[in-house]
Amino acid sequence: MNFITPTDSQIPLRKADFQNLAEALDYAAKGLSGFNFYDGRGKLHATLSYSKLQQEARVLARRLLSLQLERGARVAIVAETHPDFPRFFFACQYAGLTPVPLPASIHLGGHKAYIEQLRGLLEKSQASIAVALTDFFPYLLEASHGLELKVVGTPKTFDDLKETLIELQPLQAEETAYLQYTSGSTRFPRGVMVSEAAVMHNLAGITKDGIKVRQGDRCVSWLPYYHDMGLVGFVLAPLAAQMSVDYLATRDFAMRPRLWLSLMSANRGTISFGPPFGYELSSRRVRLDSAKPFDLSAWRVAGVGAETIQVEILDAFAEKLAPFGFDRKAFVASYGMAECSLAVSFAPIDQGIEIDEIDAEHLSAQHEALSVVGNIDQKTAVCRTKKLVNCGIPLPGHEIVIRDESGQTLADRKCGTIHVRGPSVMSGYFSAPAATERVLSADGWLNTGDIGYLDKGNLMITGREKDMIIINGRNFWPQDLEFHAEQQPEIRPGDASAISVVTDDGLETAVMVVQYREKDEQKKNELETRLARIIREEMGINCVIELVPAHTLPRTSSGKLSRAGTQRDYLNRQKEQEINRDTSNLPISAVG
Amino acid sequence: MATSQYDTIFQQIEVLLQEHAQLQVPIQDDTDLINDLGFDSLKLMEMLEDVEDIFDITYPLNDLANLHTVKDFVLQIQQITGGE
Repeated sequence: MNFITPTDSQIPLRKADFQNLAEALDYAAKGLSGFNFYDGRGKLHATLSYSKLQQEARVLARRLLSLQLERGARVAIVAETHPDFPRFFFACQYAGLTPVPLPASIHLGGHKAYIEQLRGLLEKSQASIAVALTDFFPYLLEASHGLELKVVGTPKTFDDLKETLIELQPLQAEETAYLQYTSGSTRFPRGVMVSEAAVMHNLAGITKDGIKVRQGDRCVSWLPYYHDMGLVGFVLAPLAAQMSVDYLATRDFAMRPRLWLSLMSANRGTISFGPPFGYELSSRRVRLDSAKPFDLSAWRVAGVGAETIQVEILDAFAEKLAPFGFDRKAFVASYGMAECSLAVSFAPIDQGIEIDEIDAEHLSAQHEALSVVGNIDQKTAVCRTKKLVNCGIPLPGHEIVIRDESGQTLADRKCGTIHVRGPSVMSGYFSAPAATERVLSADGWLNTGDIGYLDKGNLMITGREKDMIIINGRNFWPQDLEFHAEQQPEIRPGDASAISVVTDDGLETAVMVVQYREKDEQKKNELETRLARIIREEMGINCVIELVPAHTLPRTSSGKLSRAGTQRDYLNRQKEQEINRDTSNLPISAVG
Repeated sequence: MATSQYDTIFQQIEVLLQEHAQLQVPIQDDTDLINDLGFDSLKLMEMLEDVEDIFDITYPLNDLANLHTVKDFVLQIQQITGGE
């Protein structure tokens, strides 16, 4: 029978002050804490204490070494929420190999799309070996067909290898700790190389300065292992600070969001993070049932990150769960990205969400954040405002500057592109020097592509990476949607432009505007239906298709598609139609 | 009898599909979950919660990849519940 690992590790708390991840695990293994895995009914199905993880990972490391791979060779791991993931990840740490977490996420009818995605990642990462649990193994095998991998197997395949007697030489500070494929474009994935030194810096910043880990902390997570927040935030950070973690697979959370809150209650979880989408899903789907009440009173850090934070979503969550002991002061806004290991900045803990309400018109016209407090008599003046969330100050050792398009540093409250420099920044994109050069300057500044402003060192995000579409917490690149449209015989390259709009209920929707010469209504309907179907099948989301006559899509002076222009024009057309039809069920406002 | 078991599951699924689908159309064997009923992954998760509860099964996530029609769905559930 399994017993959960205790909250108290019984060893002195050290906050990630280690040379590398292997050393972090060696220390955690002296205590009693570890990982616990819950199934879709909320029952414990496996535990993995850090001491057991250390033993098993070391054995597996010696087995992997029998394959005689070169140091730093890539080990692709389909990252299901299962004890085998940390086991393989840490076996790589001990064996001097580079783990590459691959997505374990399949969409309705998405067999072909998933195979293509896996195959692309195996190729791009130049993986030497690849592993997946039994459920996902057939997909991995299909995806790796014809590629030159040394071994593709299930965990058993590797557990059957002969253990070598070679002394283990864990990955060292300057070596790449893991390759993190960003949740960006599926067609052009970029593998973020994070060194041991960088990730250890970030883990120290997160645990010591960000969430200020203390004795008695316990983490709960449903975030996928193949995302930076799930991997760095909820596998590596807890381990590096000897905290126990209770895991719920992402699919089980998506199906039964209640389980997240039940786990928090049952195990007295103190730390959990999610994108706004996770909080939204919970407050929408959880039916409050007095027979099974929650006790969220121990929850002291309810972290929010990963997309633009909409305050209304957090308000709704806090309001609904306040009767169960949820304290809205537990909300901690944060900002980060895989390119900076994970975290860049945290708002102060125990303060809740701090809002900067600004004049939205002034922001879009002047690129300046003008606070409405004290500037506008709210009783008389009607001004379109925007509520922005303070994401706090950068972690120690890190700097943030805001720059305009010409690269000039901007003053406080002037809006521009966020640049970050510091010890947690990636070494670059794997095997992609040109892509690296575009975002990482010689003097170490990372161009995040996100838009925001600073106020006395505090960071506010006004828009995220240019053009990105975020639906239900997943990131989509417009190029990927447009690519599928352009594969259709009647659509030429440059005839499709994908954007996102926010509907009246505050949710983001993908829209693709497509130029089409045909006037025949039946043909138009057929194309619309077909494109919507392809996007659903390939990407798992609903997408509004709008067909427009040729030469409608706006272009920049250099002839490129202007997505900002597409969005503006689309919204204008919607407004006109609204006026014409006097209906109000259409999208009204644009994102960022 | 296999046929009648199929029909029983079909009838239960039909009710759930009608409740959760974005688009209301008559439900038949070849009705497509994505194209005819407008399901996306998240909507489907909501329905799967009910499916798991009603049939007392764990629906394997990787089965989603090969799920297109109502018939696929009924057959998958028939297989998971043990076929007979």
